[in-house]
Amino acid sequence: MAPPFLAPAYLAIEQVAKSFAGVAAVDEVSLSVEQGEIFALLGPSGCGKSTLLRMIAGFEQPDRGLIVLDGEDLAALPPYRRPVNMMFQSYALFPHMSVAGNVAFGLKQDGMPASEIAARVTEMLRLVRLEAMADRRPDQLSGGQRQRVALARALAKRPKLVLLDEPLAALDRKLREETQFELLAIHRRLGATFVIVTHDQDEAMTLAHRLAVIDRGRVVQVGAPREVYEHPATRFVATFIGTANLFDGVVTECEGGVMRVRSDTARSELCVRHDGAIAQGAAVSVAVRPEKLTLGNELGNTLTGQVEELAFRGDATLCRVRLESGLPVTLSLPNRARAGAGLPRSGDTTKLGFTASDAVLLTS
Amino acid sequence: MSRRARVLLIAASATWLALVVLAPFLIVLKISLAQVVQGRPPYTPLLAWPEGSVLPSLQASFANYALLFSDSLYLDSYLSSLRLAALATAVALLIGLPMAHAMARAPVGWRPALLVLAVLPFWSSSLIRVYAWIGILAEDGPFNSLLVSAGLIDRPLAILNTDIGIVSGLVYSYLPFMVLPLYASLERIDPALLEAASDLGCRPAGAFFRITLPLALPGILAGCLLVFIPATGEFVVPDLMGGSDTLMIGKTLWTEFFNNRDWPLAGAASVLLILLLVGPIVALERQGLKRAEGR
Repeated sequence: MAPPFLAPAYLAIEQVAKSFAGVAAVDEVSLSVEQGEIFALLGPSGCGKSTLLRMIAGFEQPDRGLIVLDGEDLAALPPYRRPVNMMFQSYALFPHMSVAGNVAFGLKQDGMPASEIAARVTEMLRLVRLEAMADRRPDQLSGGQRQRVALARALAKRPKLVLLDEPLAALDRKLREETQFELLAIHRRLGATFVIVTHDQDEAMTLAHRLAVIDRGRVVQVGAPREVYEHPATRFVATFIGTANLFDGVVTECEGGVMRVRSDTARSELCVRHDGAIAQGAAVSVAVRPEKLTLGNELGNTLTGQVEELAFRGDATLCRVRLESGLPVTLSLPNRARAGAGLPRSGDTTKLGFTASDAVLLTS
Repeated sequence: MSRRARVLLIAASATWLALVVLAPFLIVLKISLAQVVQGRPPYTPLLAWPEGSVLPSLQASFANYALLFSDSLYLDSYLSSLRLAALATAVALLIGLPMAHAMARAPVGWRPALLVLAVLPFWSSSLIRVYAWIGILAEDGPFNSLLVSAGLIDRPLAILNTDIGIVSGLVYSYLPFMVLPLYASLERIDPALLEAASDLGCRPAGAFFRITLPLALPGILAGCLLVFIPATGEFVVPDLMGGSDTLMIGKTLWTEFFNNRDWPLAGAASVLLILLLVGPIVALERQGLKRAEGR
């Protein structure tokens, strides 16, 4: 029982641990998910995020810890009794049943009257825009349509919690972007609680209200996508979510929220805004996002290097600059002007700059 | 594959089938229309050249087929064969399904070994294995002494020379034909489907009947056909494990052919047996095609 003065989380995962053959897959993970939220578990493959999802669904039993959903401890419940439905990465559609049969499957298990089942199936298929496909079999559908059947099936029972295992991974890029927005619209209409597992940071950032970055079975950082992107807690988060240029160095001065860091790789002393105290002499990294670096003008921190490669990306041009120390640095230069005006040329020696508030100091 | 290669491949298999299936069948059909005579071969020729005639006259008779329907021995043999084969198929399915299911769910590393174990008996002579079963099931054999010593029965059961004996022998002989196609279709079922069923509120038993069984249906049909068809025409098992009053068409055929030297009648009985078995196969094939089109 949670103390009465503390509102318990809708989904509370408390110190859950699971190991396979002595190797910890999930290591003392604690998370809380609010009702109506889209929460993403983000991490590289093999980080334990899928194991965590399977423990919520009931396919794996945690070695230790509690999983409580809406005040109910799930541990004692087998998967078929949990008010949780999952959209599988492979979709796992029943090949011998029609689209409508797949969506109706869970409702039949609950003994819902046939007329209500028919109404709910129609409603769900309309939601995912597949009314016309009700009688098709899964192998007569395209990948995107199958994905929507899987989603409709997972939503049909109006579960307290919807689990989505890499929901967009099997779609091609164009379809993935469309489906992201569709998924958001469906979520807004139903107000359901979604937990999404993904290794794709773009997917997590577009879909999730909050996300947990998981590395080697542990939660490294939890927060809103922007928060995690702008203020990564560790080097792992900084490089896994988006790209980051990391300058290793030593703290030389700490004054009024601004740290001075002497970095050999940057060949200069860098100023970084940082709340909280760090001892002088501590080894740190200064992380700067590619789009926060500017070319030519000097903004507080200045670096010098030679332009090596330019990669046109449509909305931006990625520019790779090798610093005098040999460290490569990536810049993202917005393509505001047509015809590439203002872009450097390969071989140019150039100065790079960034402000103290655009960099993040990382201690771990 | 090029068109030419495809035509060649089809032609090769068609030639093979014509040589080993169609030609023998036509020979048997020819003999079945003849009359039995003393001599070598022991039947009348199909074509005869009467004195002074240029064109041969056809000497075909359906008397043997008429006999098959008028003498109850033959019809009873057919019905009894179909009944015993159906029973053996049902028992083989009941034993084979859990076996194949366990094999398909076993750790991946074990599966080849389990498959080898399932077909291992085939590496020895079937005759020897049937004789071994006669020893096991005999009234003073280990099976009966086990039941008696366990206190389940007072007196040894007479299993041999009964229908139960025949069905036991048939099930043992043809079980691998059931297990292998069942295993092949069960193994192909994505385990995620059963997880999905469970996730949607279906208990394991329900998931077996609503997911596993329907998806294994092609394997079940194949296994049943592979057991039922050879079991219907089986000769060795009813001859060795059945009694003297056992009726199975394989045994009746053998008697006609070797004891009575009535090749034409045996031929007619064979042709009728083939027609009996081809019917259900074609029906099943049609259904399979319909399902494939429905997809």
